[in-house]
Amino acid sequence: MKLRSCLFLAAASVALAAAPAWTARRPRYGGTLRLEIGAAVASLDPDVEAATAEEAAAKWQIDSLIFDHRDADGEFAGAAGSGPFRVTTFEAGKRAMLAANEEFREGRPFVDSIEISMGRAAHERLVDLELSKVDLTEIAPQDARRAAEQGARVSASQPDELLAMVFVGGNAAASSSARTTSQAPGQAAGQALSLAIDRVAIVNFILQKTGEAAGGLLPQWSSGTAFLFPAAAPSAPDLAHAKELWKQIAPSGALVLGYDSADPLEQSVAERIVVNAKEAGMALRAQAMPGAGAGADKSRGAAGQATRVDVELVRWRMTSPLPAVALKDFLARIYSGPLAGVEAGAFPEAASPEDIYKQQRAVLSTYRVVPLVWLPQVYGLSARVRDWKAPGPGENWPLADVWLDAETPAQTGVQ
Amino acid sequence: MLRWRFAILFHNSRTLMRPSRGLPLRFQTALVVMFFVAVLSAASAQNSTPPPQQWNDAVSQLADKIAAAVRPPHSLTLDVIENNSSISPADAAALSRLLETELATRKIRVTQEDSPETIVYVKISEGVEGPSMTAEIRRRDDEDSKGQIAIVALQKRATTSSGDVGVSLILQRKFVFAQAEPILDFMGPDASDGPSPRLMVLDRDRVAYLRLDQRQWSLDSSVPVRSRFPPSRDPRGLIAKDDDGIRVHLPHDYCVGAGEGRMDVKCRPNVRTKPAVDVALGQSWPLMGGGPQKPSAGYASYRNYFDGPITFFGDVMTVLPAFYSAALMNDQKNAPWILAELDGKARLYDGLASATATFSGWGDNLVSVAADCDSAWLVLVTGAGDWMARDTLQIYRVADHQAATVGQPLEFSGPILALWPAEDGKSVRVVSRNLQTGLYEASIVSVSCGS
Repeated sequence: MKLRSCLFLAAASVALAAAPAWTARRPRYGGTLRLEIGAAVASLDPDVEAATAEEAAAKWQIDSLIFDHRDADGEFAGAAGSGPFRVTTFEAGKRAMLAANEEFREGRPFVDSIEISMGRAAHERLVDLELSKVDLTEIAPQDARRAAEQGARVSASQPDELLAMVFVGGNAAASSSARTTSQAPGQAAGQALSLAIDRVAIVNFILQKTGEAAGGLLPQWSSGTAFLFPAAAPSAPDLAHAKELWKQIAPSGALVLGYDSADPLEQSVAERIVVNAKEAGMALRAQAMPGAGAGADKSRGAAGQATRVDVELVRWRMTSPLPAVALKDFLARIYSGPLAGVEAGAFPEAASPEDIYKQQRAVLSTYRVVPLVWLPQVYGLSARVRDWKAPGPGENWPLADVWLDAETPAQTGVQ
Repeated sequence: MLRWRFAILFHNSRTLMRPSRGLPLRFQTALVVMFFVAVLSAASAQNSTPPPQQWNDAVSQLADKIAAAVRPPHSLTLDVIENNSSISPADAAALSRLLETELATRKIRVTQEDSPETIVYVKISEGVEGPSMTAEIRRRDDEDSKGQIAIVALQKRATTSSGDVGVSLILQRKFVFAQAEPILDFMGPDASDGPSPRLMVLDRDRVAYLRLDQRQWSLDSSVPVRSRFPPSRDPRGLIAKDDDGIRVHLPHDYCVGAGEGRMDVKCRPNVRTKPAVDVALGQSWPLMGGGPQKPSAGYASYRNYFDGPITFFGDVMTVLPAFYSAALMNDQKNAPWILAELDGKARLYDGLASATATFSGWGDNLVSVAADCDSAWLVLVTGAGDWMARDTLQIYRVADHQAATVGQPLEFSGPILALWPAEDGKSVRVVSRNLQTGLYEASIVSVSCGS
């Protein structure tokens, strides 16, 4: 509750800091929306596989603007240009221009066109936002507060992306322990780490309060029962218990925690976890791993296997706000990754809140998946963007509904 | 009798659901008193409608689960810790009483013991699918375990479908109806409908007739409106009533019906244009109540505004600019207009081709309204902001090219999407979107002459 309040207050202060002096309310037609993304999308053809997860996510968003709908299997169908926009220019990996589709089934978008600049680094996007060279761009959660303090308009979704730690395969140092415990060695190491990690500090210091500490596999706003999986800062008895567990398993060497070398947030969190582990007398070192591509799917731990890590950080985005749907997707990843070979309990067709709780409990009691924090999707907006709502899980950028205020408000933070 | 404990338990990971022993007795007592005061006042303020049947079933299920965990049946202490949901304190208290009753029927007595053999912590919380009630059952002889968890889903109370929402000294809002689908306009209910009032609701793709039955509006019949043109993303529509019957104006369609309670609306395409042509050639939309002879304007079917109408100031014909909404002082030939124009400013036209006054900071919806006790030109204006924010309705008195606010603005919990004059000229029809519930709400706002 406290953290949620902090997040709310932070979000509220962000909104207040940069609230433009609006002059009107009903949507206006016209204008070009300038969008900058970090990914370099090589092709918009849905059949061409993206090289990285970031590219795949961006491509999915752009395709949702140019295709009318998806098939039952989630793949885009029909002709390109049947959606709210059609592509007028495409330079692979660099730039794309989309024009409004006058005949779109659900009505013509308000903006005339969208100009997408690709492959822009995070700091370049922030600078462009400050200079009003861009109307919409993604911001890393850890940069949200700074951007807001510098006057940018910041919009954050509900926290819907789980940053978690998963134990990888059978090469764990912890698995080679000599002594016996009541638990499996990997399980004891997972529990010890889980007890030692200060999730609240990760949220407060690394994420600058843009996020929530995670104890379960679903956030409170979705399941309503996340409080049953507490995630408070470790107490003295917790640290003592962690030390005791660590002594019992006595691993042959330091555990290796892998993180995506291209992800600064994962790096910061991994380094923080190493500090927490040391405080609990545990030997853990962080190891950068090459970023996994969309095809490789870093969530499966493939990258971790290749570079001999025991534990790795993963980022899993909810596919739906509905707890049963989102959890089912997470469980599919878990039972094909960190819990591969473990028999999954049957997931009821119409899962009750208690079913959802039990499914989470079953996974978390193995300690092979250790939730850390929930991250929101954060966007920076120019002063003239109106009717923007940060998309929730499974939703696309609502660019057909966004419109541009021709009369730029005077009070807009940094222009 | 329930034993109420107030403990902040859930914020601490390692003391999950253990009762707090750190609060001073005086503070605990104060909290208990404050809670009961809150519950009693909430209960008196709440409607006295019984809880939904689903709650009975859910609490019964929860009692079954608790009973299964405390076999053989014995007494237990029930600890209702927190209600972090949209369920009111009065309803939360009712749920607790219900649980106590259900446990009693299972031969489990709720007692007040300092060191109970079994203690059940109950919490009401909420996720995207609605509220749930969680019970953690802890036995004294099993201190180290996490306890058994039982969870049941609770249905939200149905939204009130009719009644007054709020009263302002100057502006009075009467809530009529709410639904999940966008409402473009509505007509009714009429006092002449008697005990079974009817309501006509214009949706994006149909005209629906509703009937009030035991405080709930239910669909009586509907007439589909299927345009062959792409819809607008900011759909607008207007229902007008005059001596000849009902007229329904939509961007691409025009419907007529006899009215007088007959559900005989017939629709036909209204425009002969192609997409991207912003000229409406069909029926003009009336800008004042009272029929087609009143001032009207053509609607730009592929956009969300009106084309500039032609009017006369004296003998001079003037083409006014395009606008989102208009307020006319009266229905006379030379009447002044205020237009909410496409650049976000409202302008007054009262005799010249160019504006004679500009009003900034107004929203895009405005309309004239009359009051029995004030002969001045009164204009209702929505607030500035976009559709992600709350809205207001403010009354302005317009005289000598000046607009002065009168009274306090009337607050809405979301944007006002439509603001149309009623036939009597003394009230307006308002469609707004409640950002908390996501529902579209139809209301009638009138100017009251209260102090």
